Amino acid sequence: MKRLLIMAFTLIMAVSVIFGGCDRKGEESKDAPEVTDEQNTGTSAVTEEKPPADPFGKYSPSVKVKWAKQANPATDFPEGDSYENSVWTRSLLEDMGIELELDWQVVDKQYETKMNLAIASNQLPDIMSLTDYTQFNRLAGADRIVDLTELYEDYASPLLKQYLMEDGGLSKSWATIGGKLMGLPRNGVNFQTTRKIFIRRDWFEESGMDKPETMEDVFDIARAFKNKDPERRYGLTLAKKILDDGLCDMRGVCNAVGAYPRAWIEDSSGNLVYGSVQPEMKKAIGIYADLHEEGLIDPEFAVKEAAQVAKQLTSGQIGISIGSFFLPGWPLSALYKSEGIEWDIYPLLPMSDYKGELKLLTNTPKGDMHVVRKGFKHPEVLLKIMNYEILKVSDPDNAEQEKFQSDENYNYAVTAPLYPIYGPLNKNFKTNVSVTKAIDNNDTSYIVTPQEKVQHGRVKAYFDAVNSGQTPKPNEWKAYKLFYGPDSSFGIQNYYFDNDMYITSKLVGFETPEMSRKKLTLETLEDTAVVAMITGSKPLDYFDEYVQEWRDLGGELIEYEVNEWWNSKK
Amino acid sequence: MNLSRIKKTNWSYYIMLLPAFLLVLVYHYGPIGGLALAFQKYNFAESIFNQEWVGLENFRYIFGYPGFTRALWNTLFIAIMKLTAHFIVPITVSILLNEVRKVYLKRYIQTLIYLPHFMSWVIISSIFIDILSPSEGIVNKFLGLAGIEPVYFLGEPKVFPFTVVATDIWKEFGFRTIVYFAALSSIDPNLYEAAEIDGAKRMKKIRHITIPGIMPIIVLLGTLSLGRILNAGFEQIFNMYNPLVYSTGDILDTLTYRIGIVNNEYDIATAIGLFRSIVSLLLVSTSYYMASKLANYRIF
Amino acid sequence: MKNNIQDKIFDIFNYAFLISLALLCVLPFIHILAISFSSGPAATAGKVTLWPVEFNTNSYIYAFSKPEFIRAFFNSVKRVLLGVTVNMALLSITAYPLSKPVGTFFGRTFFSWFFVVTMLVSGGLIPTYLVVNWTGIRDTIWSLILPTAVNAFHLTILLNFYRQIPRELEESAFLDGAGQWTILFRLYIPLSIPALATLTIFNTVAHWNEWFHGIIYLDSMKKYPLQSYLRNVIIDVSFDTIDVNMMDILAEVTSRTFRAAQVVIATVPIICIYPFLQRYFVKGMTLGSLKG
Repeated sequence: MKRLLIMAFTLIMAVSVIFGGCDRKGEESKDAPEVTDEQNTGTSAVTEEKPPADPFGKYSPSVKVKWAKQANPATDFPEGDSYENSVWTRSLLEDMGIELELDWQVVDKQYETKMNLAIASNQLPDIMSLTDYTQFNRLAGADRIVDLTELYEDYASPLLKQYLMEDGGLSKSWATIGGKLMGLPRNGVNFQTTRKIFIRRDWFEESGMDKPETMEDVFDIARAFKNKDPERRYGLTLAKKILDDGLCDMRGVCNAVGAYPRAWIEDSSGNLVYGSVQPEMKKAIGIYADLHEEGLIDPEFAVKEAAQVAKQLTSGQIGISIGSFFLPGWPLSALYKSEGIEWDIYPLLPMSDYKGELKLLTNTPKGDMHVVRKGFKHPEVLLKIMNYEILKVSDPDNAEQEKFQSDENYNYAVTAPLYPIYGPLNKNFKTNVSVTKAIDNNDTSYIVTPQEKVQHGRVKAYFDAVNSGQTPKPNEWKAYKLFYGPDSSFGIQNYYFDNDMYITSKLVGFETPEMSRKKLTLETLEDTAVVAMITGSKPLDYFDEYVQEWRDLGGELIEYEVNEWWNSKK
Repeated sequence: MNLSRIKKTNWSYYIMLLPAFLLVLVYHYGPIGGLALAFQKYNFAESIFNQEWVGLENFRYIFGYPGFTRALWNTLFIAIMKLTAHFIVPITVSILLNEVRKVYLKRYIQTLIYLPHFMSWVIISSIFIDILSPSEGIVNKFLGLAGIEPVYFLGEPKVFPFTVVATDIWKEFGFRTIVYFAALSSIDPNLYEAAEIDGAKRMKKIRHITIPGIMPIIVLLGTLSLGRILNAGFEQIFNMYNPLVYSTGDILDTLTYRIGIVNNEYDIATAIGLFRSIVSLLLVSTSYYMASKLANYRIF
Repeated sequence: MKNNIQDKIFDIFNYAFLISLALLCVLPFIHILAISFSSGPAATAGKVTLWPVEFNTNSYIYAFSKPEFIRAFFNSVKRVLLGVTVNMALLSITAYPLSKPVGTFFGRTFFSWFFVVTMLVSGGLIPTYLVVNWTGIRDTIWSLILPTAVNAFHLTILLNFYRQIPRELEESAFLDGAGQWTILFRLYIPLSIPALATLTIFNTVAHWNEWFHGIIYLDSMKKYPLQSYLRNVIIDVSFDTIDVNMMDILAEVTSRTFRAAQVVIATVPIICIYPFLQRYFVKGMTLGSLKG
């Protein structure tokens, strides 16, 4: 009996070994031609054999390109269209001889899983988009993606190069590993998510207070709001993700005292330090601890998601939020729609005792990147597609906006194979300027881009409605709040931008070994400690203990590794 | 006669087993070879069949990872409570429901109690954050009527594990009663009739007919649930926990999520999975052989 | 008499307890139903409790208006029909030999463990994906069916039910000249209807609700079952990457009402099937009726 059992088990093992063996063979034979491919058509071969590079040259016969798309769940297609067959795939075939074959498409979160499976099973598409630097660094380190350095020089159109370099080469440097350009990055830094102060107008007028000039004034207003009416439960918003939520985190107040949580910034001696463990952070936490004690923030903030805090804003429980540009779009437009409530937007204000420069921390880029699989015969296709997209969408002279970007019903730009499409940096900022000028001077010659057209149309409708005594639609109100005048979301962005008030983490696109192991654990520690000090379950002086713990858990090593990298970069 | 009978039966038994055997061999045992990853350093550059062996390095890494012990204890604590409650509640409810004589009522209640099973934790957790709030939640308002101080169900570390267990029971108990109903309805009604003729009371019938009738299923599910001893429910905790309760709410899955999945450390994730499998196998096989030795009963 | 009063009191408490339990389960669902029929702003402002506020069907129109939705719905129906048939056929046959006492056939315990181990040990995502890929069923509906065709948990439940069938029945059938297959189909399966109905429900629910395999094994959205498709259309507010293009859609269909509608859409078909199967295990077959 026992012997037979053993025999049966051996048999299974044998079978699985054979299966495994087959698989291995399959992998090898699949790999083999690719290797030769690569040798024949490496970058050197391209420059030697092929005629001079033409950024817009049409392939004849057409080339097949397998791609994968990180689908946008909000995308709608005209009847019959899909990612497989869209205005982009048809035109690219017709104009450029590029035949796109969609390998697969998935939305946001599952995209990374699917990409990892493609990597593990050796089924990478020819061109693909990556979503974070970890994946990018690993693929590059594993030599699975193509070095684009020379191809970029040869094939990138002048406009592509211009747009990519508009930020002074910053985003390009994040895609460069060991001097080699390994991917085409999303261009520019996302400035618009920096914090602004949103104050409910009807309550503010009723309070009879002056416009705020310091953060303390804002807290005074919050206090006045709350004390006026027991229905108004708290002064300002705060949610579970205290350090990086966007709607209702503490980043604004942190910046107001010169603290930059979750970012690596340069200290006076030129070394990089981690913002969450600097003494300024203690100050910011202290401010919130006081607010908490006073009852100006929801004592249950630590369990609440952003959506639930949004509810507090729209149901009249809270009248102030220090958040990102999109608040007028969501959730404030809901309140405007139901009750016509207006909001005023202010640039971030410093605490009165803060003597430093007021700087606003931008989000740290995550690593959106387009790359080419090593072994693909036509790696320059990536650049050609981007050239084409820029030509059709962003090029002021050649763009065919209705066909390629959007009409009233559909947004075609997001369905492009490579998205986002490069364009002039900070176009939203520019839209603010041109829409404001066009409305103020009643002159539509300022309106050029399709985005400007759409937003100008809405803002104009807003004023038409107001002037004729009607209530503007929520969409129109939203456009007005985002784009019109210096007090709109993007008006304030322009103010920040003109006064050079942005600060970005110096560590982008690079992860030290210890960091990839401990990052999330350390962030968990940060969250726990900060919440504990705000809610008073730990005294503020626990901060020093927390910093020590952060160091012991790996923070010290990370700091060392980061500075080693930083110094080698300098 | 006897011999030929056994021989004859044997063959059809094997034929019956064959399709399932092959499918399981390919789709379950095939991938099990991938557990080798637990002893390797996963490298994107290489095929999955050609990875570097690192021995027990991954296990050393996990066991030495900050917070591992805490997560292990939290997992055990929450999982054991869940196992126990998922054992007792569905059995009790199905026995009580079995005593309902109005058939339509029985059916309605059955249909309603399994509704929560269909809601995802994303939705449920947002509902619970509202109704469990200490200041405005309806649960605490009821407790207030009874003169009990508000409880911060989701924010108080000592309470949080119990909140997790209670909400999980709420979500799943209905669905888990179904299998006991099946067992209850397999009990021969003649037994009850005979007992009634003997004048047996309700409690007596429950104790002597109902419970023994579903005993095999109870034992089976009890044993198999031991396999989940290191599984405290990722989706639930991930949606419900928060910085206030990391000390009691951080479990193995959330820890793995932090070190493994987010950073694509498949080798580490595999090692934790293997650790879990070994513990489950040990527990299940121990109870299997205990039952077979002590009670001469094969659970499966 | 005393017995009767006790019984009555027990009944009253029992009914009260079970009914409040049922209410506890159904109220959140009604809440979700109400949200799904409310306007986005009302739901965002938390005005909805158990009755829709600013009643509208936008979330449903948003879901149903897309041809992809209908296609995904039928993909799901196809998957459930095919998957449950395969599962139940394999289950009812495989459990039979395993329900036999130890020693009836060589290797019984080995086979039991062979299946049970799969419940406790798994090779993980990547290796399973590779095997699915290697067997050539990736990107077909079979990738959603074959890898999960044999559920060891269900198998052990069923074999325990089979065991409770009295041996005498089998032996008398055997003496009448019935073979193993006849005994299985004529005796075991009819006598295990409650268990089979239960497992049919489990499998239906599992196939209907499962979404992850659809996303990882299928490449084209056209092949997605409903739940995978719905995962792909829910707008998760990601504050980091939100751009002006996205904001238009955000305000129209808030994820709150749409999520709610999703739960309703996903649950209703199952609730409709339930009563048909329910009667088989509320009122199980009696052995007596069969023995006649």
